[in-house]
Amino acid sequence: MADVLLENVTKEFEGGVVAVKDLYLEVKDKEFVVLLGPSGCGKTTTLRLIAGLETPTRGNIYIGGKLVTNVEPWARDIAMVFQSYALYPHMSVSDNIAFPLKMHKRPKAEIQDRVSKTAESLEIKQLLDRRPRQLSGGQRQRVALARAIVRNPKVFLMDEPLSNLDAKLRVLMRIELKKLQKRLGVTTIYVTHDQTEAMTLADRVAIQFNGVLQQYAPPTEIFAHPKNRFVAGFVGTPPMNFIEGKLKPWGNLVMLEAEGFSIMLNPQLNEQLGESLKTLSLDVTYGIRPEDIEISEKGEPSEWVKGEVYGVELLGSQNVVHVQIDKTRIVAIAPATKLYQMGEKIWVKLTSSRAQLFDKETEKTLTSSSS
Amino acid sequence: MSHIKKLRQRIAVRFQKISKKRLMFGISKNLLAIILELAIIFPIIWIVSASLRSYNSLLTTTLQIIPPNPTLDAYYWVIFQSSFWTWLRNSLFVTLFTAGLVLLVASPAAYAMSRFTFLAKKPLLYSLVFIQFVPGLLMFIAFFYLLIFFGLYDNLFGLVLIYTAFLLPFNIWNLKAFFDTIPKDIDEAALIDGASYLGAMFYVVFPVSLPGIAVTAFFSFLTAWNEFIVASIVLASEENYTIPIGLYRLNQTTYQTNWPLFSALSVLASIPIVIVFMIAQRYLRAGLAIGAVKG
Repeated sequence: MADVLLENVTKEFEGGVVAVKDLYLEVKDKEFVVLLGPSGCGKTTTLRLIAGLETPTRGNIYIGGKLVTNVEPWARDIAMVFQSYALYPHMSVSDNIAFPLKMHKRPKAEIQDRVSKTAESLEIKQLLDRRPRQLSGGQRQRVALARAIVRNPKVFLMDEPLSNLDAKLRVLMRIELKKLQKRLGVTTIYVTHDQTEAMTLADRVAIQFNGVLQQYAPPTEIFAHPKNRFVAGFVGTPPMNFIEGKLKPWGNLVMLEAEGFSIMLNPQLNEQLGESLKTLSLDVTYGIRPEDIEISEKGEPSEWVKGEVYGVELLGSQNVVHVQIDKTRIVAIAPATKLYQMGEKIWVKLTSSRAQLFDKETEKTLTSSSS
Repeated sequence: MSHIKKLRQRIAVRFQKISKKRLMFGISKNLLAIILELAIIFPIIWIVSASLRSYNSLLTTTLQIIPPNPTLDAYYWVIFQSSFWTWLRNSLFVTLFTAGLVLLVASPAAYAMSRFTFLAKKPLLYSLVFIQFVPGLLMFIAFFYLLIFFGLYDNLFGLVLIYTAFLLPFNIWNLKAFFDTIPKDIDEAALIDGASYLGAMFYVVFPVSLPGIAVTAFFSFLTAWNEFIVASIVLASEENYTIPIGLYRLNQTTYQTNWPLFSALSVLASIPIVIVFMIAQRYLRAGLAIGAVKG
């Protein structure tokens, strides 16, 4: 059990590709941290740096308060679950699970005891004599997990461990993984590009993009108060709508003038904006999540905007409605009972207290006050 | 109605044509295979047949596969009256040491070439290919001087060193290509599980690479077992002869080539190869790596 600290770590590969740029990341003891980002954002490299499979170009890495920057992987007391599982094909399941214990020269009786207990807790006891190639994807996944937890390491590292499972099993394993981590109380760092996985598993999510840490916060905060346009757009399905326009004062209120229509800002949003911002006619991006948009057959021109249904996706539990407003297209969510026809004229309410404003140039938030 | 009939007839004719074509193809394919097989097997049958003849009956003009009065005289002579056992011992010494030494050097070298980046890796790899462009006998003059310098002339171990040197470039490439097919994830998993680089190599990568290692060992064994020219130059004294040299000198002891003796020794010399092949074959099955990663 230990905390992990990456202190201004940079990893530059041969040929000048910078995979991780000046990363400062602190993971507390027993915490479940998810590194989230699109492919090529540096999240796997970050994990490999912690594992010792890569050495940082600059910066330091600490595990449990000990400097491990140049310590070899086998001396870091960590365990890792690979995306490919990386089971040893020539060994039986039981030998696979026992391997880390054998490498650490544990006595035979202890090895046997621990292997059987671990196998029991993951419900793979009946598979112990089989070879990896005789297992299904889900079973291999469990064996890989068993091999990681058998030794009680200081830190678990997981590199997209669920991405090779089918959708149903993935949801099941997600819950089990979370329970397992809480039960064992081992610091866990988990890499994924799947935002649902990140939101459901993490105590804190670290969103990376182009090698740079964008935001590091609990899932709810990432969702409610994204620090910049990238984070806002990356988290949430369907993704947040972005409308570009200029801020203009309107009496006591502030209005966003978009192309062909305007949106009155919610008074709560006004308060979050600094005084100076209200007087300038600033280029901004207005962000609103599909679930925060209201749709109606009729509306008042003061708060509502007229649009046309461009298309509808029926998802069963809800309908995703694509609405064309002048030259802008937005996505809104309607209840499953509301069936809109293509081409139908409707009204949408884009004013919401949960909407976000971003500086068009820097893409940084203008409204999220916290963190 | 009538045009349906016509159509049917046309289909029938066409079908006949195809089946005739197929039949002809089938026959000629198998005939070719039989001829090729005979061409390969015939010399072996002939050697076995020759080894069972007496000295006089070999030179008959009639072609007989089964000799008129089969006898094991030649085998008896080779086994009990020639230096067969010395030659066999020498051959086994040379081949086993060569195969062992090649494995000992080529495996870690190939592993390093496959997994690590280091200074001048590419030039090193390409120089291994380039070395193979140079005819072996050209290099032999240098080898010869080296052997004399180190006092290894007429020494079996000198022969082992030369064979190893000849075999290494190809086998390093061969093994590297094999290691390249093994996912790097499993070495990394081993490193994280507590194995050192050497540990990961011995406990995980080598066992998974058994087919590749078996090919290397078998190839080295075969080459060293059959090699004649280098051995005939390096080995001078009779107690150091390997089987190919023994086979050659056997002919020189009599005025005329004694074909039954020659054949009997040839048959005996091929037995170890067959045994080694049978052992190696078990490990030559590919697909041992299936199941390591997702599949």
